[in-house]
Amino acid sequence: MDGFLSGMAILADPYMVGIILAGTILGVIVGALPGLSGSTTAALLLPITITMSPTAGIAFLGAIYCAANFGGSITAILINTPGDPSASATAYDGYPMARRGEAGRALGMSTIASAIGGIFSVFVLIVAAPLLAKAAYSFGPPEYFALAIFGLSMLAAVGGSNGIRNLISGAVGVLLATIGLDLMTGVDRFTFGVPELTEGLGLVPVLTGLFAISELLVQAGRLHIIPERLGISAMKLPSMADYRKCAKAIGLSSVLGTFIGILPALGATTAALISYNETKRWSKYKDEFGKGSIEGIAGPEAANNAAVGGSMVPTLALGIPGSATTAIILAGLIVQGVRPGPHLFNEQPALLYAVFASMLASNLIYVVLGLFGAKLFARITLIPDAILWPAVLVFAIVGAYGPNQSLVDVWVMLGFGVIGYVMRRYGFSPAPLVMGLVLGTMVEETLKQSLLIFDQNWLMFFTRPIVVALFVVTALSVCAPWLARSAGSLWRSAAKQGR
Amino acid sequence: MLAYCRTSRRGFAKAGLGTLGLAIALALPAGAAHAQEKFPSKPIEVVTHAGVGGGTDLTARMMMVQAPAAFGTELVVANKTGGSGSASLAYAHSRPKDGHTIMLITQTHLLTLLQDKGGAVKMGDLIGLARATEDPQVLMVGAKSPYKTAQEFIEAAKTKPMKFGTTQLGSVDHIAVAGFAAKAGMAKPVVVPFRGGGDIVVNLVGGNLDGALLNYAEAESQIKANEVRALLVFAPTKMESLSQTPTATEIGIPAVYSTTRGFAVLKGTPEDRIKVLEEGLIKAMQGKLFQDYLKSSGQSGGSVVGRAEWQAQIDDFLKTGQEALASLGIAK
Amino acid sequence: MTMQDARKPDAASCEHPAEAGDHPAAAAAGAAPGRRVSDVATGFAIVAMALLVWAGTTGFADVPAALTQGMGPAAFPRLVLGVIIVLALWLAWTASRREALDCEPVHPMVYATVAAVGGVVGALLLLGIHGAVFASCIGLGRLWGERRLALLAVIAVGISLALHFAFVRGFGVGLPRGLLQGWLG
Repeated sequence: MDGFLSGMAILADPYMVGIILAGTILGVIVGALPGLSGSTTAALLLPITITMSPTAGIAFLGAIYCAANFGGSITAILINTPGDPSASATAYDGYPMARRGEAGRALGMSTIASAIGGIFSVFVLIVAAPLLAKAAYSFGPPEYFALAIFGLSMLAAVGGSNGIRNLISGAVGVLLATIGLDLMTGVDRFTFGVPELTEGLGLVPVLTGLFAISELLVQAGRLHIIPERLGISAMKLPSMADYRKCAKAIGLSSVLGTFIGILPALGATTAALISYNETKRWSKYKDEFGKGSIEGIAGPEAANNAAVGGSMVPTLALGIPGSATTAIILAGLIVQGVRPGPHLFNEQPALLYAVFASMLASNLIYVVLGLFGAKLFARITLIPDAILWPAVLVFAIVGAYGPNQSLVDVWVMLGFGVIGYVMRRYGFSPAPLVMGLVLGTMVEETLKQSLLIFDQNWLMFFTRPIVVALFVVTALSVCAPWLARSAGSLWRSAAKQGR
Repeated sequence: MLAYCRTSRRGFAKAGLGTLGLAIALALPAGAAHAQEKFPSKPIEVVTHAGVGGGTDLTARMMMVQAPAAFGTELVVANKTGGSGSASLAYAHSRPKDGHTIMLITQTHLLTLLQDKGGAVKMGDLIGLARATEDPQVLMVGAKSPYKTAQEFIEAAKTKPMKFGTTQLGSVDHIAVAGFAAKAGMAKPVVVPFRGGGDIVVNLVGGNLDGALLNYAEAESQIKANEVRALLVFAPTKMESLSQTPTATEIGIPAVYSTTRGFAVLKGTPEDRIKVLEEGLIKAMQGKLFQDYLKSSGQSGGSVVGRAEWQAQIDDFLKTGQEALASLGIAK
Repeated sequence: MTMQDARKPDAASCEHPAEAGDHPAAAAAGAAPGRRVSDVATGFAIVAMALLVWAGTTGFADVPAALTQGMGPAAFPRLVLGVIIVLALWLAWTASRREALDCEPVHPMVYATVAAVGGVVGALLLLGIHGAVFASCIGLGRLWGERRLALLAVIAVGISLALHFAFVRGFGVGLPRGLLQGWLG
């Protein structure tokens, strides 16, 4: 506790507060801009942090990391373009809300949910990092395979109302994940001789295409329709009733997001997607999802920010980074002469607690920025389409090109814009496709790795307790609606007979 | 972009648009009049095959911190991922060979060239400038592993095919595993490919793998926490950070493997400019910052060497790599 | 500025007739009578595409015998393709339980917009990012009915400068240069 208090003391130092404030503001901006993500920014600014003191440098990177994950939701909500892949689930419901004239409500909820998820995970990090970190060692390929299957089992529920269509869309996503070099054999698959495709489809161009460009085309088809104008309150923030409605979603997703973040192979994007499904499953208002459900924003946003604290757990306690950004934070620590590991908690508690303090502070700072900015940003939805969408197209192009400096990615984005448009025209939701694409690589690779470890004996999966537990949970969740129905009818018939 | 930047900056200065414009103009390397003769006359582009934040990308950026002072110009990184380096080779080939484009290469690029997947770039086209990192590979096992020494491990491996974690098949560490197994007379190992060193370390500790060849830095915290044991170092001499661990040569296996990164340009770059680049790079990498970076990742300052030694190493690898690929059955 | 359009955001262009009633915008526009697309047709179209991709998997390079261990590179994609085919047949098989999609014809503006996006990419390749900014803001903006050219030009200049300073100067992230700038540089 002494360490914690001394860590908090850095927040009394105006220089440190300035550093954290700068990192947070920068993080929100780059998070919101497609093409600049928290990890890119952290990598680009790493050399600058080296000139700072270790505490200041790491606090700066930590603040960027926390804030960028929140920033991604701003563009996802306002223009259906996730500023960061982890915000893609936020677009499913955030953009419909913004279209309905409730951008402020959506942004406000995203801010609060992000902060609660983020702060929860930092406390988990403070209290239990060395203990929880060991969980990472219990997760080998078979366990990740079972977890990915659990994620995929919810495909039918993630998109629109049509289960078969969602499953097809998800399976296509898994198929798309096989593009590129086969990790096991190094054989090119579906790359058509394009070297840039050997690394697989980039998530950013695919998301930008499916969401932003397909929406551009849908809007083009609606320009002739004189929109029904209604008085709205785009700048209105969420009400107390909204927060009450979302409390369960935020709580559940904070825990889930932190746990997924702790696993080194999984990051904020997976955390957000799985939490979106779970939020929907446990919600009383399932029908609202995909059409602008405020719970559909609270869940994934709490989860992806909770994953931030979660992924710092293995980074600091094991020296194994759980995401691209933590890999860079790890590099930053190493260059400062600080080697993360279990001993760090005994040897350098002051530095650690300074990191925690800066992450907490960053979460609090962007609440203020976010709630204040929500009113401002919400005005973007009032910009006429003929001005807004051409600008979105430009940012989509920059966003696709930026990370890999590749024109191929721009073509991929445009291609997926058309694919997304055609899919939506024929009643297929792009959301399950994203889910399949994110989890598909993991399903294939962990399956093959498991089989190599098991000497190709499939039955060995059932010798691992965590795998069995995850399979049982998956089976239960798939059968839950059916079980509930039959249990209900059994109950009713029993009640009838009893009467 | 470059042309655009320069004209716009000059425009600013002419218009006298205040201190901002002036400051940017002052940051320009030299007066425009001498731009043609002087080298470097514009920012130098460093092409890597790693995405932003990857190990190779970080190496480039660490070098760049103190490079502007050495070169008198800025440096920018161009991340051209894809095709195991072939995208970055193709990009470098598309740029003028005037020394303003340099590459940070690894064995991955060389393996790609060996398999003739380098497009327009052929095997003899690379001219080394300076080596940046030389990270020896280390045989590691999990703490729960029954093998306490390299000899025990090798003895057991003669009958039991060991499960090794590597990065993708045909990669440098895969070749090293195959070479080590052959030289030590081990049964053909089962190779389980992973995305990166972190995953392999987790699975070593978790007991899913029998062993792996990793860089020291990748498992440093696990080694210090006694969760991973380092059994054998594939370096010519003992590593400072692993003073107890024998080298392969010491136990009678003549094997040296390392992850090597260094700078290179393509053939056709003028000789005088190669010289400027070599001197500048070495000066930048001898700076405190890069040396700290090397030390913190368990490497010696001797990783940085000049053109002659680095070029010899490239040539040597191109020769031996060919045989290694052939023995794996993946040479073209 | 407190007015907002209430076009439905995520409704697909095709509607199940039962749902069309709650889409006032489409009804108000008096959309042309749509084409009926049965799920039988959709299902078989997907099967056909899946078979085409399956054919593609036969073209994967051979794996050297020395490296063959476990599942080959084509096994997993084929497994997924099999699942897709089964699901698509299921979609076709159960089509009679659902009403066919009522697809309104693609509005000409969609095709025009695709062409305009093509033009923007052309400008990107030839003139670089700043060319694309102007092509998009002015060209596409004009196409979509914004008449104030001066306003569009001001916005284009603003975005251009913002991109240059945020990405190129600020972060050192390169943006597409285009062929012309490449030649000039």
